[in-house]
Amino acid sequence: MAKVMILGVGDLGASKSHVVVIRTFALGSCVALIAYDLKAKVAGMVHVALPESRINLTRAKLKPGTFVDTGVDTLLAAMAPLRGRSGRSGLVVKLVGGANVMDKKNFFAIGQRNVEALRGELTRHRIFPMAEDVGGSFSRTVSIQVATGRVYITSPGRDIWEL
Amino acid sequence: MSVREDILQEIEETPLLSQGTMRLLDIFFSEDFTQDKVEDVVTEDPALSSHILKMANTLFHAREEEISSVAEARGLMGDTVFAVASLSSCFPCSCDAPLEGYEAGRGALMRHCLGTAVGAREFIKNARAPVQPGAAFASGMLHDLGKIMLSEYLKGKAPELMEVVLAHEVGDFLDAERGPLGIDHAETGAALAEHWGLNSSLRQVLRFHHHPAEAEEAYRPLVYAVHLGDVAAILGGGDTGADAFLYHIDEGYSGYFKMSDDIVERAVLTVTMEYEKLDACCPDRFGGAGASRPTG
Repeated sequence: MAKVMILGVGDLGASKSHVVVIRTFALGSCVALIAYDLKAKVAGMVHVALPESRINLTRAKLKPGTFVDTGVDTLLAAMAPLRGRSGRSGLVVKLVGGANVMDKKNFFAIGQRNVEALRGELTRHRIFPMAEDVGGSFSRTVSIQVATGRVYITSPGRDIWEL
Repeated sequence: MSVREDILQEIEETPLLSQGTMRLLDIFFSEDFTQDKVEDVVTEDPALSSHILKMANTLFHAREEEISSVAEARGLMGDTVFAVASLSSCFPCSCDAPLEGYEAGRGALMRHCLGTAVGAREFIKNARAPVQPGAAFASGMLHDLGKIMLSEYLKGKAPELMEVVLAHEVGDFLDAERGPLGIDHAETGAALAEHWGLNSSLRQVLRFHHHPAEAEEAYRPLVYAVHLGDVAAILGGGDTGADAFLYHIDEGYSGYFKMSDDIVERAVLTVTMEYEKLDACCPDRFGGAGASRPTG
């Protein structure tokens, strides 16, 4: 029977247990960075809310997963002992979330800023997402099965789909 | 009888708010609003006290001892959740009821309303003219009352309504609601506000929170604050299901609020942290990570 590891905003989790599913709910402008080591069969996920930790440094210390600039490194570090290695080799990365509201002035385009910041941060690690389901005008709930690395997305009013 | 007439008839038959709840709203909208005054009104009114204690004992059901005083409930909940709990006495349904017509799970409405209240309270810190914090908070909490009345009539229709908005056949989800029902949740909320005899600020907020430029000029700062708070609540992950993101931002906000990327991000983060406090009280009841959701 599957054991569900639920992540809230700013939470991150990693597992190599084949009965675990990692899930995060209601990604609005937030983005889930999902990483999977194909060889070690280790999955990790972080639910980031904002691009930069300077917005709230106290929060960044308590929950580094809240911000892109602190969350990516922290997720990779959490996965490393389970993988038995660090670095990008064998790592498949996917991005989910980052919905936007219609705002011509772009102050409210947090989803877009999150996705761009994540792509930039991943590029710094020379990691390039294999798949993305980002943007648009709907919230998403996303899960990854540790055993298979398969990623599933649901959203109100839509059927489940796989990324 | 048309669906619209059915809905308006149902509003006419909705029980009026108690005198205690009306007094509570007066406190939130008064110039000298304080949380202590909210506690006083709740303590003095048996129905409100009972509502708060029931909610507190639900939120903190893991405690061995029952919560027996309003002051103790406030201490445990914190001021924001206490204010939310007291204002939820206005809801014509249980405060964690799902909005099935919008495909929103148990507690999602309450979570969204909390987010909008907190978001509105954050944005008024950058208002070009002062907006009363209690009024912004209460208006944010109650802005979506119309959805409670419409939810039953929209059951099973959400995918179809989303489709017409995403295909640009209509402007936003309000337009989509009017298709099958002949009325939208903003007009419905305003009709309920009138039936209850709510103050003119609340009537304007309920009617125009998606189109604040159409509100009367005197009320626009408050209505825009709720409009922006609504967006912050959704961006923070507290939406009411199928209609999330299917509204436009009225850019007239720049006439009433200073705005920047940082202001928006701080507001959204504050909303997110208030969601966490609600979840810490009760992780499985108000749309938090542990709640059952139709999106699963």
